[in-house]
Amino acid sequence: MSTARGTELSLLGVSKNYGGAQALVGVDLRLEPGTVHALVGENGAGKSTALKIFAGLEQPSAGRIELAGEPVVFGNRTAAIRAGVGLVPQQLSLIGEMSLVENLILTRPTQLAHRRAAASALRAVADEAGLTLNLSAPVRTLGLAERQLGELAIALAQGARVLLLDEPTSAIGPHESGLLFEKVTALASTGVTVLLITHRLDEVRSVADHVTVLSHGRVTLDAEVADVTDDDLVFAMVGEIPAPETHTLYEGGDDRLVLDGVTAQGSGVVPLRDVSLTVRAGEIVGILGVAGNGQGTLADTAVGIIEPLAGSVSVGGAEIGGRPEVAREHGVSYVPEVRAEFLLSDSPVTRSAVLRRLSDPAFRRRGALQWGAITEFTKGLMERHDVRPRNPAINAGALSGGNQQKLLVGRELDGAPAVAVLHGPTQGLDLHAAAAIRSDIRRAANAGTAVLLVSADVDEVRELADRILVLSKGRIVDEFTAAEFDLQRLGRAMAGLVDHTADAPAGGAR
Amino acid sequence: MTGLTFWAVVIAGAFSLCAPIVLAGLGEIFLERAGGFNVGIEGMMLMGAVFGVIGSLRGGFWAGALEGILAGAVFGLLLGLATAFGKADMIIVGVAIGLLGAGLSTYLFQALNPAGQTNETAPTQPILHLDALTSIPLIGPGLANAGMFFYLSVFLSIVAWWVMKHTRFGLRLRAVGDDEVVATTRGIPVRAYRLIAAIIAGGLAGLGGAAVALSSIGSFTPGMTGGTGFIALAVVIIAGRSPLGLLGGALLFALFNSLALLAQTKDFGLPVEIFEALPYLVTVAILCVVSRYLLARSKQLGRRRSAPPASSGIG
Repeated sequence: MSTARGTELSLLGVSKNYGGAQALVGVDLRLEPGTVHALVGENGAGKSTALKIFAGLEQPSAGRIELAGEPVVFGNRTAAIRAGVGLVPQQLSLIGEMSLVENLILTRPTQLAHRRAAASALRAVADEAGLTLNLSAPVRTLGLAERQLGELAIALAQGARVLLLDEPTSAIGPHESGLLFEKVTALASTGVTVLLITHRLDEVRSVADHVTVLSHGRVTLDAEVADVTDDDLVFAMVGEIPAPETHTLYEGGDDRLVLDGVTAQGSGVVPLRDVSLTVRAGEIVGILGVAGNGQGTLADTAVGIIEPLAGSVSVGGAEIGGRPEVAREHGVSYVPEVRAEFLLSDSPVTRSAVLRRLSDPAFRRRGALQWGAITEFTKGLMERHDVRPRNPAINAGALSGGNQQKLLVGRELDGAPAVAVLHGPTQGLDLHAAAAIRSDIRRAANAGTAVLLVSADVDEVRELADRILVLSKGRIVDEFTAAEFDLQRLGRAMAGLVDHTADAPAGGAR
Repeated sequence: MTGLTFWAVVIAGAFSLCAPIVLAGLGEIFLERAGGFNVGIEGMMLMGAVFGVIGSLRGGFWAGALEGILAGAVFGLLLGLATAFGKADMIIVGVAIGLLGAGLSTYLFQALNPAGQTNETAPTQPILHLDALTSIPLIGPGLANAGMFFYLSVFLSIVAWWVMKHTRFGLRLRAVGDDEVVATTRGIPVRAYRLIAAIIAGGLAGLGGAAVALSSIGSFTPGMTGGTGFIALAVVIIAGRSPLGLLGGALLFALFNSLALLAQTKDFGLPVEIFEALPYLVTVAILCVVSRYLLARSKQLGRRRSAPPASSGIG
């Protein structure tokens, strides 16, 4: 493959700051021609930032990029494409209304489209790489796997000598993943340089030659895949966590939230498959997993927003599947992952505070809202849940992120509801706000609320949960109590190394 | 026009009336493909009309056409800068530009032609006199005597179609409109494309305005475009943002408009108001039929061709 001979591409001492946050700190990353180099790490470890710098989508704050030993600057994506850096992004980055050929034309150097020439160029690389693709149908009529392979073909047709693959299997099934990796390893064997970003250690094992682990923006491991164990990788990814404070709040209440054999399809790519779980009064059940493994669908299904395709969701014995208003009536509260959707940012805090309680007789008299009572209530709510500044007249959107979240979590947990489903309640918050919210959650559980805590934050779940379930590819693949907590076991389950068809409790109830 | 049948005259009128719609609509197609929407199209056309007259008085027809384009393009630049770089809301900026154009064009004309003074008549469009076409039945006489603006419309429609289909610029414009984020990932300078699309939209709206003033009248009156810009917006949407569809749609609308004008000279036994409403009624009817057809077809094919670009915020 003459156009696709690989080249060496390196980051040398690269740092990247976003505002005050350091996404990368002095990272060295050397991609060798003819190898598949895996870059792994948890969410927020800096993988995507490194990829964007390679691809010309971001510029490093410090350090430099070298292409075949020469320093280069990729001022924008086009410069990187010209230098032979092909990108297969995680999210679909093809224009859906256009064919693969038209998508290729977008980045070709000539002003005229030259449709036939572009089509034959794409056809040539596709044939050479053994890809069967429909080049003329609009991309959105293609399957997800075909789109991924189409991205690959377009990158090659652009003359890519380096291929950057950003979690290429996150949207496709195991069979398609196998097919994709077959092509990728074949390309690497012809000399192409491949960077594979993933958080699945099974993928690292099966395709990569070399692996670099990022944790909190730093390289924590850099080795040949053959020379490291899975445990080394997991340790490098999640680091040392201090000994757990095992504390069990739960003392055995009645079943509150019960999911039985639930299969559901949300807007996410990964559907929920046959999930059974029970949360009892006063208990906190944590759902851990790498983001994008069905967490959003699970949370939305548990509160009735998504109707399960199979199985049942019930609260205190009442079936609520697909009916959020019924769930609400039975005392289910919800903090979704995207908090902005559940606050009225452009209105005073009072409105957000009583959004769920407008039918409460305390706030209404003959159909008219009693703003005096509402303001008093809001003041109390802000006091109880430490929302600052304590000014009910301020717009919700003017509060800091941490205080918005305290307001939202406070609103949902106030008065200890029967069930609370919390999705990433402290995500992106500073330590103090996070700590305040965690104590709020613990207080609610002590008062008898059944809490389902969906989080990607291992420390948080470990600190709060009585029981932990691990979600991977839409299934509960492992379950243990807080006392049984084992980081290695968790890491393996989260990284997809647990075979859920064999020994893991697939049902996961109790 | 003795010797011509009534319908030949109606068709000849349609050729003349369609030009402003096509010209302004072509600009709107560029803008909408890039994800925009120009509510201020009338204001831009009025600016084009007043500068068209001013330019034509000073330097003849072509100077007028050019000044019309420039006046519209300046407003397009304003729209583009405010929305692509200033992150302002396109609808609000569009409304502001529409009102500004209407007021400013009136002011400029009155400043140059004080009340009480007789308006000078500016040179109007050249007529091509393609006598060879006269022999074609029904449409021949109209085609042969159509003005420069009609032929410009046809020519520019073909150019626009070609640009959209056969240039990287055209495809990139569509990409920007379809999905901004993806376009950025693919290395397209999104804001620059938005700006260029807005300038093109303004320039062509200006030319369309000049076509209103300079096709046969040769002078300016406040608000003289009389909703042509909004008709252009409607026809663009009906035509699914295709330049050749726009040409067809504009001709159809102009045909009924021309009929409405000429029906007054002939006794059809119906009130004139019926004929005046006809173009609009037909537009609405066709809009419904075409939408239904496109909807049915899109269900069949799993495509959505007539849908607005995802990032336009309309539809």
